[in-house]
Amino acid sequence: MATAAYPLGGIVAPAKRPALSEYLRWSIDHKIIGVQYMVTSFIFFLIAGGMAMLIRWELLTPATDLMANGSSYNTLFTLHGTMMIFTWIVPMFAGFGNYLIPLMLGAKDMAFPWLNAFAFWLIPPSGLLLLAGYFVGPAEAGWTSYPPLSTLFSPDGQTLWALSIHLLGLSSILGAINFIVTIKNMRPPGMGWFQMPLFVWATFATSIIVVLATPFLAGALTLLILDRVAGTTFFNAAMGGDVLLWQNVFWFYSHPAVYIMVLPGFGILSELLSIHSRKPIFGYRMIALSSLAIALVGFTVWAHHMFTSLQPELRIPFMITSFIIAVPTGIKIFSWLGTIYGGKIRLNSAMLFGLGFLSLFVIGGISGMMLGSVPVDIHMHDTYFVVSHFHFVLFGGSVFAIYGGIYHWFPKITGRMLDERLGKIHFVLTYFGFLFTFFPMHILGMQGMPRRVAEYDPRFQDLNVLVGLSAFVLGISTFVLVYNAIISVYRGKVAGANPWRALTLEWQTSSPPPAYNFVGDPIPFEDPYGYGTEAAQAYLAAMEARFGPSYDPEARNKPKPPASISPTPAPEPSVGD
Amino acid sequence: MSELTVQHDAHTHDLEAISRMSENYKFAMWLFIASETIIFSVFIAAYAVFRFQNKEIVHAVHEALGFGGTLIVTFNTFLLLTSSWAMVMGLRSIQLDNVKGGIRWLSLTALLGVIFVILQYYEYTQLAAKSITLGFETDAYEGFGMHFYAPTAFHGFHVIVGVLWCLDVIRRARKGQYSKDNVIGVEVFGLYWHFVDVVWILLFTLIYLV
Amino acid sequence: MDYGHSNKPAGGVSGTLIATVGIVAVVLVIGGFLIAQFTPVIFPTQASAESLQIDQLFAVLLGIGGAIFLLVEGALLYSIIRFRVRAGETGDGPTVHGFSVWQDIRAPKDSEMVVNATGARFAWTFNYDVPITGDTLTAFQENDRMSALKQTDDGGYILPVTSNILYTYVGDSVRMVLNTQDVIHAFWVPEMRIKQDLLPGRQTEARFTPIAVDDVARQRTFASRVDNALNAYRTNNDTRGLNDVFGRRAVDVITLSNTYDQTTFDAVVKAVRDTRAQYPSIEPYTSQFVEAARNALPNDEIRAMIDDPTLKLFAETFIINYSQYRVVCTELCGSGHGAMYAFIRVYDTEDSFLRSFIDPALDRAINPPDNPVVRGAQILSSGAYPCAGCHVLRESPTDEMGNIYTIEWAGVTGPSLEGIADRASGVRASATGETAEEYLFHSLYVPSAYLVPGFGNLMNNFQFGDPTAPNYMPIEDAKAIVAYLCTINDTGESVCDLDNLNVYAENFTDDN
Repeated sequence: MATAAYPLGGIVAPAKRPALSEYLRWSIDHKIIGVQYMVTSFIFFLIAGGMAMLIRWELLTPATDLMANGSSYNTLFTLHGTMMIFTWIVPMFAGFGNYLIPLMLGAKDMAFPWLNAFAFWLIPPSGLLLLAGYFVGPAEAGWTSYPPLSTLFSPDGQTLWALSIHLLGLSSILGAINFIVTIKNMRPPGMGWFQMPLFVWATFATSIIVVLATPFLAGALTLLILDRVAGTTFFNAAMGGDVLLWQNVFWFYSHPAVYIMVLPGFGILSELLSIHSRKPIFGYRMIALSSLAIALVGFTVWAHHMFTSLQPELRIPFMITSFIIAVPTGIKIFSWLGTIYGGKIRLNSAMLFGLGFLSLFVIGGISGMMLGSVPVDIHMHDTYFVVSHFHFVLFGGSVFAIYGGIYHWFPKITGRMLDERLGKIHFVLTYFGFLFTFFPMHILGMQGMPRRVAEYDPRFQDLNVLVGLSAFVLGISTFVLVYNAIISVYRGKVAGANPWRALTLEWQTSSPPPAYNFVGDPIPFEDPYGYGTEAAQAYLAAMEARFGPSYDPEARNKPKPPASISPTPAPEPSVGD
Repeated sequence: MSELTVQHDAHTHDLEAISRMSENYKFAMWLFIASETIIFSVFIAAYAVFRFQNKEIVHAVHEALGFGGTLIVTFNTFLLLTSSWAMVMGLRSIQLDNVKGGIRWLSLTALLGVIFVILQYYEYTQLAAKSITLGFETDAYEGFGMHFYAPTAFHGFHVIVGVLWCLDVIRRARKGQYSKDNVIGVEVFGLYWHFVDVVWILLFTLIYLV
Repeated sequence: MDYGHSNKPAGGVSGTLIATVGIVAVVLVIGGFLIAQFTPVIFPTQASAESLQIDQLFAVLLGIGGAIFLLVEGALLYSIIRFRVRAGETGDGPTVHGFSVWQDIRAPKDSEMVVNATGARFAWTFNYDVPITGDTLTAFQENDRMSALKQTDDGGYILPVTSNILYTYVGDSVRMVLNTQDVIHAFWVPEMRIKQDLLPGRQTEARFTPIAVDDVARQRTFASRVDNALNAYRTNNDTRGLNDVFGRRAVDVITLSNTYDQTTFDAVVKAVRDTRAQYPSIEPYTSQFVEAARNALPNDEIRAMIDDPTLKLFAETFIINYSQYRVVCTELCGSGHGAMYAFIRVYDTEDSFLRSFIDPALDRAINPPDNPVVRGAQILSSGAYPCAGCHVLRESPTDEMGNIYTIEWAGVTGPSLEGIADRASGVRASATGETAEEYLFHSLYVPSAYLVPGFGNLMNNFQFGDPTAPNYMPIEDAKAIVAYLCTINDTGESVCDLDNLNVYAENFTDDN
């Protein structure tokens, strides 16, 4: 039923947006919460990114000159890593999930809206608690916080760090419970497990990992806090404890955690690649099931982070499991290649970041395979090779997926398109800034530069300068997006319901969606990736009739309609017909 | 275009909505219990490893506690089991439309929980008197204390939360929130309470019986 | 209904397809192989037997990874270019819905040299137990120096030798026994490709066997350093370069330079270098080498000027007979983590290893200098104690015999020791109420008794009660160190009363 909210015959104005003040206070609307997650995470991203700039600035010279001493430097990478993981990537993906999952499932909200809001509001105070460490002596034992450095030789900020992660973990678990219940129980009639969009599958698999793995971290953190404040000695070897206890329990969580950080990115990528090549996803079932496989096998590899402290006999089993987990990931990569191959690829900003993900994540995967091989890892463990590997998969992977997701769903969330030219500038600066920052680190590590050092052998200076300057470019590139987002919110082209002409449910409602997401019943298309069929064309046409035309990003490509509407004369028969 | 005739609005209290919401809440509680199980397992595993690597210390502790010490804990186990049974009876009463009876049973559950906590506190004082402490330096049994207190105190905390929750369930029952068609709040609490009970049985067995 | 189906082409697989797949496969294999060739470029020198196998394994992985990289990026680029939407195209795409390199490198060898390495925040200490038998044992007995030796379980004697440099030689099977005094550290030598964590409460091990490396490059690097240092000395009388390059032997170089005119000097240096280039496997100490070097001299005039012992001295000095790499800590251990490195020095032969490391250590043990100041300088420059990790002191004192003791400490965590003598007798004495020598001695064993303002209580507690512990410092060593530190000021005059020091030491009960 058409109402005044959906003017027919042309886009006049975007649908009504919530006021700015609604985003600043408690709300149980998943769309508001989703944006709250995303903006809060992005702020922490900028803070942690600023720390990275300081790190690279320090490393322009071999001596410790920028920071007062090694401890101040150690704090920088501790907080950089901790914040990037727990206050940027994990909550950012939670934000995407929160915004999109109910929409993709045609639901009015998540299963537990109040819990949803509560989980979000744990995050800003936790982030501040982390930074409050600067008042009492900040955490400086790395995000991995190995005892006895973290128990016996670190200032009080380390306890605040542990408490902060506790709260962030709780937030994560509560959010994951919400996602699992919503996805399992609130799909619309006709949408079975294998008719869900792959982003939903990805979030589902991620949430399973969160529920089962994060409590291990909570247990380890509790023991750490007790050791620091209550005189216990769980991790003190001289008094009956064991330092390897921490390493094993910590990595038992932290390895699955890396899949928490990348699986939603895989989900976003599936959406981007399919929609912007206008081709069905290749191997839908394989991608869906491989997410579950990764979630499962991810629990078996943790000790590959400990090859140099593990009993030598245990190394080979973990090497084997580490190679096994490459298989489902490889399946995904080849499925994505199969998706774009033969498609009609639009190289807009969202797709560029998606393709960038594919090209960079593969490099990270290859370096991961090398690290999984024990003799090579013995040499490369705790060097810049490892730093390079995880930045390729977490930045080249997850952050590129996040950027792609922002360009893709910004129109849905705000009702306006992001500027494409700025988007392409953002992409070029990010891609090449990233590549020249992190690729040389492979070589630095192999040549002999360890991690987590403020001073290094002077023979590494040239590469470090290259890395540092590229990092500054990468840092600056972020602000292109920030600027783009801010001006586009107010002056971007009005998007309409479905500028990408996509088939998933979130696009079959106005931009932004109304308070309960859909007016009347949402009508899912039979195949969320059924591009190229007549049925899809008919469905999209019907939706356009219902919600009015959307912004067409390809208007420039289309042949112009004839200037007059008078009937064209019949063509003259040509000689020799 | 298919026509969907049934309006699904989560804000009407029709039976289908309640039934779906019940499923959601119960499933959510199971997921929460899964994550709680894992965090308990970290402490329990730490205790188990300590226990099997330091048999003499544990033996010495058992001797120091003597029969009296074990008696209290055994009685506590009986209390908790009874409280779970009371909780089931309470749920059943409400399902049979006897809310008043349900309130009585749930009050018994809460009461038994409170007694459990009090007796556990008493046991802790007995242990402290024997120099079994949390901190290593003051622990006469070289680390037994911390490995023991971590899982049991964590469990005790869960019992306290459970008691408070039970009181809240009673409060809502008295306000008429539950009926034979709407017991989801009680069921979800029940799941949690049973979980707390099961963890205790595991701890009791591992620490006192083995 | 699910949507994972794909449209298979009707009929069988076409010949074009097979050809395409075949060509792509060949390109991938060749491409992967070519990428794998980068391995030696990106790895540092292969300096251990283990590194050969590890680099080989890596090359295989790089080859496979390279092939995968080419495949994925190639398919990506191909798709982007070939299937990019053309101007005017608005439709959708087609509806197609659609896996002895490993060797046991840890097998224990028959005879190994065991080195005990201790990591502490933030320095490495290496302990060798040198067996003492036969004539050497007699020498200890005759010189009444048996107190320097430890007895083993089977009644033999060993001399514990401590050093900040890890000495070894080509072909030596080294077994590192690793212990930490505080937090987790890790022992890494990139050129050896070995790494092992040091875990509190545990003892861990690492094994490696150094191999010979490219001598030509090594000599060339050394030669250019030497030439730069000589240049600085000749033009500006600046000896710092010579101290850096030659350490204790800088005085030999200066003497040689003063004895012979520049033409002769340079000619002899060139002769020994050329000889080395021709005979890379002959030690510069042998008579064969000396004879060949003599023949390489440019004319008889010079031959007459230079006798064999001098020629040998030139050879020993200007041919480098060891390779030196960094030992790096790779597990975050605190503020000094980046500064926690040491050096490993791999001599070309066991003989030069013994000559350069073991013999001087025996000599110091059998004939310690009488002058405690000299002895202190000797101890501190030998690296017997890990002071270099935390303190700053840059000295090249010379004893009356002309031996230079180069102390090149640049530590970050502790107070600088430059000018310590004046501070010890001045401001520290008034702060602690002790005399200079008492304060210094006390600080060695109980650093927490007085902490210099602005510094934390991070220093190792040395002790003299248990000779087997890694932080053992005998009283004699402590007194010598104090005696030497008492001369660290502008004039070099001691500010201490050594008799008082003896009395203080005797009455000292450490409350460690």
